Amino acid sequence: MRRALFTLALTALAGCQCGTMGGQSPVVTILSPRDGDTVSVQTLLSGSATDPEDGLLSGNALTWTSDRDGTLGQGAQLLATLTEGPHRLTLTALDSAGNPGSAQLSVTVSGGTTANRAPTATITLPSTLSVFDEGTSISLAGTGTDPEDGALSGAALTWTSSLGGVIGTGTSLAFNGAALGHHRILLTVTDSQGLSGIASIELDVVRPGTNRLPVVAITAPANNASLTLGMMATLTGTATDTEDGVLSGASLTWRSSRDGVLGTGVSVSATLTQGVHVLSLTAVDSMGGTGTASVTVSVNQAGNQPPTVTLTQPTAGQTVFQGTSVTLAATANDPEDGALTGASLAWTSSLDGPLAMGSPVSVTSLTAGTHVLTCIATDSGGNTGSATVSLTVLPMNAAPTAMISMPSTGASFAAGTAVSLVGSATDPEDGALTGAALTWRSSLDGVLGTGTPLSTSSLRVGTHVMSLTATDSGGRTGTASVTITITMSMGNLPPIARLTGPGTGMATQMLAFSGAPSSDSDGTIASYAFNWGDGSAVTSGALPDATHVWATPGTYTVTLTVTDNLGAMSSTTLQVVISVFVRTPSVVDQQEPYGLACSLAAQGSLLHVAYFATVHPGVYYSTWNGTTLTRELVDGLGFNMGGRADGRLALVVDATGTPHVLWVRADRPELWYAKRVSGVWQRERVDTNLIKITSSVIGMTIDAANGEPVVTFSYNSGGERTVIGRRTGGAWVLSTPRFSTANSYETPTGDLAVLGGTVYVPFVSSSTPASGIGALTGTTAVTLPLTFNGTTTMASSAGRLFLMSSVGLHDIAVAPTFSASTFRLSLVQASNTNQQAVALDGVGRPRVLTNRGSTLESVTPRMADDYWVYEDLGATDTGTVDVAVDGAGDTRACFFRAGRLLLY
Amino acid sequence: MRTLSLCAFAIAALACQPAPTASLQDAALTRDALDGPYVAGVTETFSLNITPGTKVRWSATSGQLSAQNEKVQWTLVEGLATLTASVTRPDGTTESRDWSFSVERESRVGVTTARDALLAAPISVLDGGVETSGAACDLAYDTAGAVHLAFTTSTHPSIFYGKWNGTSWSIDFVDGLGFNVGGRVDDTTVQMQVEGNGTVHILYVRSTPTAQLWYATKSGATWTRERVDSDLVRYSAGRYALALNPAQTNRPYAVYTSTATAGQRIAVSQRSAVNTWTIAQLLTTPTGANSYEQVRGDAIFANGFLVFPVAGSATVTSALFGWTPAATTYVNMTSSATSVTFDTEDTDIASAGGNRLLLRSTRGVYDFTINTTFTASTYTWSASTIYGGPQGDVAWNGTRPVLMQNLNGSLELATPNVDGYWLWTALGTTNGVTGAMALHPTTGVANICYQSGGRIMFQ
Repeated sequence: MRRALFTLALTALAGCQCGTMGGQSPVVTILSPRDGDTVSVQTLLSGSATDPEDGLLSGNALTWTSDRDGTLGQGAQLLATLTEGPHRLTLTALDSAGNPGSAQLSVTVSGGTTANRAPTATITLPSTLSVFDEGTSISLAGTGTDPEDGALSGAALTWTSSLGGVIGTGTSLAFNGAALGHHRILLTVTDSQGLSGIASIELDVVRPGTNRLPVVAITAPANNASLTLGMMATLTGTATDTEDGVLSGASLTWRSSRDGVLGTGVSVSATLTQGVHVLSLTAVDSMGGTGTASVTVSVNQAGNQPPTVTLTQPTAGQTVFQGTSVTLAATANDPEDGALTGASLAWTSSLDGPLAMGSPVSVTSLTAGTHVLTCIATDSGGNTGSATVSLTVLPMNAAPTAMISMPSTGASFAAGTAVSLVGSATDPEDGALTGAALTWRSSLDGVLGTGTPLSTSSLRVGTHVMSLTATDSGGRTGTASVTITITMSMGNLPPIARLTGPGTGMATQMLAFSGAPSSDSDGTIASYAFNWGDGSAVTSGALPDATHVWATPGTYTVTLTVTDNLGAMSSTTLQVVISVFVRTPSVVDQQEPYGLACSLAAQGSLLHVAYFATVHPGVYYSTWNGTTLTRELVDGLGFNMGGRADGRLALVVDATGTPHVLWVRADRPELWYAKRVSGVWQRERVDTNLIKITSSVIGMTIDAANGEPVVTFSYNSGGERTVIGRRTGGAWVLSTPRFSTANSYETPTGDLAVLGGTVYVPFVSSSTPASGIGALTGTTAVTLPLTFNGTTTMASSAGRLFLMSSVGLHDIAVAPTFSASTFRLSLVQASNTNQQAVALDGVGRPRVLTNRGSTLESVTPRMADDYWVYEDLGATDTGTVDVAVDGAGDTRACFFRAGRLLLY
Repeated sequence: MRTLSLCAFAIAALACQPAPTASLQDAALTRDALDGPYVAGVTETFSLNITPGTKVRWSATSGQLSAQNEKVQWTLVEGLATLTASVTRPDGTTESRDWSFSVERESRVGVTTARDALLAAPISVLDGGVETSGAACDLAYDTAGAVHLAFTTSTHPSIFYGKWNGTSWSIDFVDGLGFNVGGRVDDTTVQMQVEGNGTVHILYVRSTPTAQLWYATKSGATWTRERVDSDLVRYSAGRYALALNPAQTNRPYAVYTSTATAGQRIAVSQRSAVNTWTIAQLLTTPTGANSYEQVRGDAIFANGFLVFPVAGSATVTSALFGWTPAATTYVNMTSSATSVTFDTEDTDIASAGGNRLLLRSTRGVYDFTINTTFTASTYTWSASTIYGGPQGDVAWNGTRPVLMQNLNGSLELATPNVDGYWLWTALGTTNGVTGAMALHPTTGVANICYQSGGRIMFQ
């Protein structure tokens, strides 16, 4: 907690003086109305004042005043008659010692009333607290029901996300490209006269491979059950986890809000103390993730029937904005005492604790979040009963203000005449609202369109309440309305075109749109034509729904033109912002979930990956076409064959698409190579008992001259020595050049390259140079000193080597005399990175994969000026990662997260 | 923001709470729990340190308020609002006092303590990624009223430039890590000058493999980047300054501390042509046999001199240098009656019209009149607080100075009232270390940039 002190003191006195003589002041709260409300002339003012010494204050201790009307009266509740206009209301309380406390807020008194009732919103999909992988298309579905209009559809339903603003409209919608993080999804439904209702859910979008939390349920006792004091209660629950399956035993812990920990396991027996308990069951999975469920129960004395509570307000799942006055209402009946009222009823919130006593009461101070509200009734014998309901409080968001400047109320138009609709709206948080944030409705014809100005000639004959509803980025609405009359006229009225669909999407991904809400007041819709705004062919026909894929990012205007059965047409538009397609990593192998190292190659759109799985230590080879993963064991544990692999491996795919894999059987150890020929892996040992691998790093490439592999490793011969192995004529020929001066230690650091018959091997040494690239042509070794450390990866193009190490990317122009080669070092990250890989695209520009802290980033030089562009791929494990460039020129990568192989 | 009435120096004796004071005018108003600017919708708690037995009544002109004697909870509403405390002492005497606040609108999506939706949110750069802002920013207006902002980021250390056209920000990447281009930017410093026509000049440091001083300017949509120092006169460390010479059609001049055989010496590098910087290293120091001389703040042209503060290791430890190609002279600050030293590397200079300059340091504000004989220049000194924070800036609004400074984490603006005493305005609180201020060319309204919570804030 930060404490900012604005000190104005001329003098500073020593010591501290705390407290107030004569006791502390009362705490005063205005419960209703809320700050900023518009209220009627006769308004119930409700407040409370609690004094630390005197307790609850009432009667003449509380005085209501208005800056407009003066003193209004006294008491905790007051039915005040206020003059129209803005008021600053003050509730002042004085305790018995004369200590003052006060509360203030502003309201506007309006004489107007409306008979229209607000619609009800319900979200049916997804369920709240659902978790989705990044990149998943999330199906949203909901309903809107209005007492006057009935079922609402189309643009009457607006979806917004707390992380991205408006998602789109309609009763069902695909939420694509949802940002990582915790979303509060809000469904705002608006009736024909502009009154709105809201519903909300929470969901999380996580990186693929992220551990999912256990799902917990309590099956006994039931919520709000009454248990008998002294009797042992059996508590039973379940917990399932996506990764671990059914959880049991010590993974499950039972707790009581009164009695503490009760035990562990799916079922425990406990004798609970008298009173109201919140019983919770918490499950912990193998990754430390937790899930909790809870129920409220009352433990009562035998021989005295507990009261029963019926909670009537708020309704289950109701959503309100923070600061809204929420009425809490419940009835309680006790077999012995009859109806319980007043202080016998106590309200608590799971987030805010004790709230109020009695029924009905109103509260305005609920914090944002999902509350479980409990009403506890206590009878004269001390026994209790309870009822609970959930309430979602959205963060504070002031409503926008809408205004209609045309048409004026009372205006009359002949049917078929173009009526121009002009208005405006401002929002305290968002400022001026325009475009799709403004929706025009007719009480007879429903949604007419969005934006201002808007012209319509489709209004049916009758008296229309024309409303302009402004929706802010938080989903809150404000409405203005005028009444106009449409008089009889000969001729066919044109239809009304209405279009729903997403407001955002990504290039190359399919989006769905619907013209189904369109209508024709004097006929039927005969055809729908969708112009996608990108020059592509118009999609037309009798079907109201259509899909489209935009090839490139941009802002597009989708135009729907509907034609009625008599040939009259009308159009409407919807703007769609198409962003760059962002690939998200996918978990591709769930069978051997615990991996450590991978090596990647791309061939067109097909990825080849070799990886090490730790559960049954083996080297696997897979291909991935974006949807299907093939999976083969290259080597692993076997009966009289194979061996235990470790994280040392390399994969290269040659020009014919043949995969070559190099790995180490760890126990002996031995270096092995395999090539897949006609679906069969042909395995060969590379090193020998005389030149036996000891290095922690191996490398492999293909010599384009003969299509055969070239490998590097090191062995110990009175000191570590670099080895280069060439496969010639089906056999391995090993050479042991020296790239540094008479050394005691020299070992390769990673990938190698072959250019024009010369093999280039990066190495570190205990002598001179301490690091560099060695070039071996025949038996002649030449060295280019470079400063780097740790493991390296390397890529090559004609006359050029790219060496990626922890210090950055060396770009080496290979000279005929290799030691005279020149190079440039480009930093890729601000500090050294211990996981990195480099590959080249089709024109020889580098693509880099680096781990910044614990965040893996794909790094590409910007086409215009070569500055790096970073794309965050999320967390990665500490094992080997790799990068490749596919046939489309996209960067692809393999890495592990929580032990699972991910392909990007 | 809270506008506090007349005040003098604060003496903070804060064992746990400031001691109560007899006069409400001298009372300390404490902001509890929260940090950053005052934002609509946020419930703030303020408390007043009062003499025991005093009864306090609170009122406010807007927003929900709940008061309990010396403590008040107030839910802020956008706009100007006044909080009033009325006290009744045990002896029956009464007194009232107002505090004025300017409460900003909260931007909604992804922003917690927003000033501007774009800048307060994590700044998206290039084609993706989320950058954490660095510690440095600089701010300027052009004569058309457009705001120019240079700032650093630290995730991938870079320089960015933003321009506010009154409706929206456009953000440019200026320099950073690249493939055979750019370099790692020192995210703790940046200097910017903007010509009246909006031409922007930025000076910054690439920190690896060795520190180099770089300059960037924008022509059309294209950024040009040039090295300012050289391998022979290499930028050493610390503060550097950028000034435009109006006598040479706003030619950029960089002043920096360079490495020299004798230790550190001032270097003046001027952009004599595109991608050509001519460096003069002041090896013969006018202040004596220093083992070092270091730049200590802004540079500015006045009366034909390039003026900048210098700290040295000889007897003249603090001086205001006046440089011309022909000679370097100075005003000895150490020997002045106030015996001041430039003991931080963030003094700020602003023109007060003509040959008059304002210099803000941690010691206060110096009001210079630059003489054609530089050593004959005179100045007055005004304490601006007991010790100003290193984070600050100074400007001249045409009639009086305007100060911005960070005092113990609280950002404040100050300007003299009609009596000449400083009138302080509380802007909020910050955890940043640098900041800058610019005045609107016609309205004189002050805007500032600063760091808060890993974000660059503009207000």
